[in-house]
Amino acid sequence: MKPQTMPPRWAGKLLEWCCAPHLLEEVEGDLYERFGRNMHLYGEKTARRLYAREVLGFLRPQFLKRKQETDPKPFFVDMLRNYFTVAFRNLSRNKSYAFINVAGLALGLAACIVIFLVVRNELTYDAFHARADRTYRVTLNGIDFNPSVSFAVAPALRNDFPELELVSQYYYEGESLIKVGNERFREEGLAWADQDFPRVFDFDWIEGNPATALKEPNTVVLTETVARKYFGEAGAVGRIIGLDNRHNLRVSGVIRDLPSNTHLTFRYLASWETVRKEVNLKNFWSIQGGNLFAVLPPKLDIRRIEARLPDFLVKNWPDQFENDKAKLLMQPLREIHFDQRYLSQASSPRSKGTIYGLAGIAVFIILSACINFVNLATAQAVRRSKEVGVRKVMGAQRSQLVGQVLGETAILVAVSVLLALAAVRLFIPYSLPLLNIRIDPSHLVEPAVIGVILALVCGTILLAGLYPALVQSGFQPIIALKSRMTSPGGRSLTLRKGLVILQFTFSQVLIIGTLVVARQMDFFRNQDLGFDKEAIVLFPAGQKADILRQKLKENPGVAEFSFSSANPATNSSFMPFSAPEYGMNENDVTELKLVDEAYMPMFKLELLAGEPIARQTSKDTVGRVVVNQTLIRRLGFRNPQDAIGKRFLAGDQPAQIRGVVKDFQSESKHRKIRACILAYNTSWLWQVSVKLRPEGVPRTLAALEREWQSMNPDDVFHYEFLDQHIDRIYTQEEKMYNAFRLFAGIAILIGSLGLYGLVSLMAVQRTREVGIRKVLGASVGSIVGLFSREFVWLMAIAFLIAAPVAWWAMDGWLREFAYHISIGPALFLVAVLTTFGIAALTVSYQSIRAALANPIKSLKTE
Amino acid sequence: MRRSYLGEFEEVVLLTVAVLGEGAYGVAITDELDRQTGRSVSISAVHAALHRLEEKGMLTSRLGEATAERGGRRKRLFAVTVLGSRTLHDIRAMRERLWDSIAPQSLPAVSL
Repeated sequence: MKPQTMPPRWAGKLLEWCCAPHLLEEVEGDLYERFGRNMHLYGEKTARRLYAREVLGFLRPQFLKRKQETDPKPFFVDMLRNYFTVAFRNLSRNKSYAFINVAGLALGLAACIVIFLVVRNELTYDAFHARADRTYRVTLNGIDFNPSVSFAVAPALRNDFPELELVSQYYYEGESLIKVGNERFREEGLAWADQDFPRVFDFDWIEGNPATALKEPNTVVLTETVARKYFGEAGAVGRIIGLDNRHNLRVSGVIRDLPSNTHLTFRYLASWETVRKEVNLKNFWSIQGGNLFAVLPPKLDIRRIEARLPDFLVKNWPDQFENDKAKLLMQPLREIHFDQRYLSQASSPRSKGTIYGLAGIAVFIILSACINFVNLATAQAVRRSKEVGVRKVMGAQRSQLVGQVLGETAILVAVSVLLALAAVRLFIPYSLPLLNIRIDPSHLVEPAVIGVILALVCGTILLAGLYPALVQSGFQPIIALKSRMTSPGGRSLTLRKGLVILQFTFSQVLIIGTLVVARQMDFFRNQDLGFDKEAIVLFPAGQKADILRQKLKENPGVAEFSFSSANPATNSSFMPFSAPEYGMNENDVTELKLVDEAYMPMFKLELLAGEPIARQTSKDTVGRVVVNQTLIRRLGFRNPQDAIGKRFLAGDQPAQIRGVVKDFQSESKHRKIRACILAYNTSWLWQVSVKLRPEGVPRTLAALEREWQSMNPDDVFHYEFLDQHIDRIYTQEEKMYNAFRLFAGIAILIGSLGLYGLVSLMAVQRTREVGIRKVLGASVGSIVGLFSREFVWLMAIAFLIAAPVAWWAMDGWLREFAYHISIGPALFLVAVLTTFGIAALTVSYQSIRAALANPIKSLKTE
Repeated sequence: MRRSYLGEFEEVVLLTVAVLGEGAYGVAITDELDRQTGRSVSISAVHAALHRLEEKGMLTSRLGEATAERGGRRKRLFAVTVLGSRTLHDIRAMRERLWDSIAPQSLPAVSL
């Protein structure tokens, strides 16, 4: 036997690599033995060649095939059972940490699911119509952005653009008077639409034929709620309803209530044919107008339509487009919900920033819950070092240990997600009143939603479990078993600090954000609007205004009253104005309010110069008007006195300024105050505003109702208080504030839970240290300080990160309002004190308890 | 057929294991086959046949001791099972029945 001569190495390797392990030894042995003999017989060279040939002979499936595990089950099942046992032992031993983890995760997941449903709802606005991506709203961009165009446009558009697949006229009217049998009701949500409308928008039809339902005049399609309200379970189709004492409409179809993600807001839809002949179909600048929708054929570029629109206008209305810069725009249907430029429409648009902000909060929340998990798990990992050590000695591989920790995380997350889903289900009914968002329970079982929830769960498991798993599985078995590990190396301690800083940062950003929103809401409510809104009730003048006037004078509960076209907080009509005399040649837009002489004193509009509105003879039509500051500024006057007696053009009528009134807020604070003209008039004053005396308001209202009803037997009395009306303008901000408060509260709560857990764990781990310190004379205060000092530092660092981030985000939000608060240092101070307060409360309980513990007990143990 | 089918090479390998008795392992079987039949067979072919026979239940095996000439590796020692033995006997009996049935002149004479 010559040890120098060996078979070829490559052949040996090949054999090792290919041959099944359980056969390898005997095969190698036989080949080696034969190699020895061949060496002896034929010499090295031949022996090596023969060896290689033999090795190649073993490359057949029979030897390649690995021996199967005879029965893998028992090992697997035993180990799994062991994992479960250990997991539940661990959880039941540390009930409070398990609770913190599960509660935090469940709350976080629930919040994330709700936010996801909200965001999804927002981003899928009007996406469910089959032709949604090809549908455009034809809008008017003159001085302003106007969502409606004259009714004259639709026929011309159909005529000049035959390639358009569908052109549909829609007009939202709002409240109307409905008569069913002999009963009358005020019903919100009347809209008119032509026969193509149900083909542009896909609704869920319960009864009726979408293709023909709106074809005939005097037909109406009801939503399910309305149909049920008036006709019960009995079929509504074929029944007759009276509309505004003018039309008798036959119900031709019933559709399901509109889903939450459409910008349309009608509740019943009357056929356009009914009123088509009554409207002005000639004048482009007619105030009569509605929304116009056009569907492009597939693959037609919208720009080819847009390019022809200017010519289209000049061709159809040659006398109405000379120096005008007005143009038609094609606004994609999917954009309507987000386009903030058009404000006067039935549903207020949502800013994408708000939606992304909410999504951001969701990320904060779930990260915060995961951070809790990571922090508690790594802090506890030391306790389990012995278990890890034993497992490793028994031959556990690292991947098995990682799997074990991930599995334990998965159990907790699974419990949490079940709790979260239950919580979401309970919350859904409150989503509309609290957040102004309709969520349907059926959304929860849609495949896409289930998919996202599963992804969320998997993501959470990995995020929360992976790092603890790597830390725990990385223990050296000898160190873990030999000595008592006191703290997991410095590295993971800094990581934990980093995570706590991150959590504090989230909390502080959200606290600052909530404070900013709260301040802005206060600003809305309390800032001087420029007019009096207290105890003023609004209702329509009805038919017999003169008798009503008389009755109001006689009513002892009425302090003052005024007839007008609109109250100060509503803008009803606009007109162009210019003043060539003062170099203002281009038209700007002004609001026009027609009022009586009682208007200004009753609403306490402040007159800066000139005279107030007074009775005028009807001969001088526009004549001498009162205007606001914005208007005279537009004309170029700084001082109100200078503007008195000056003339300008309102529409094409000359007008003279007789008085200047201080600016007042007539729209949402999203918008700058516009120019406004107050003109005396007697014929268009359809709204009554009544200032009530504080005593006996219900009695006064009842009397008003009785009198009004007797004057207008065909109508139903309905009224609204002015301050409620103003609050309604800010509904969306109010709900957004609610959402912010709710989710920020959840995020802060989760953060506090984690902090609480961490401190209590620290207190347990440092029991002996605290005992020794106390024996050596440390005071309770110094021990509480010991626990708190670290967190104060972390919080300070977090504040340095949070402040600029929050400032940047909230500044962006505030910019959406024309009038807003400024973010001052006081706000940051409040935020930082709030976080300190919350953290102090959280830390103090456990640290005081640790500090008060009897040192004899803590030192005696072990 | 009741008993499992044995290929000709398998039958020869099985017989060789019986011939070698206690010392039947890969190399020894290969050498014995070489000597008895005059055919040069590869170790891999022998191993393949041995494992097939073991799967069929005709052979059992155990690992023997390690030797220096094998580089410290153990050899696998094979022994014929009862099933293997019965199969060999069946084959032999069948052959003999066939020989007995051959009429004396029907085979051309061959000089040995």
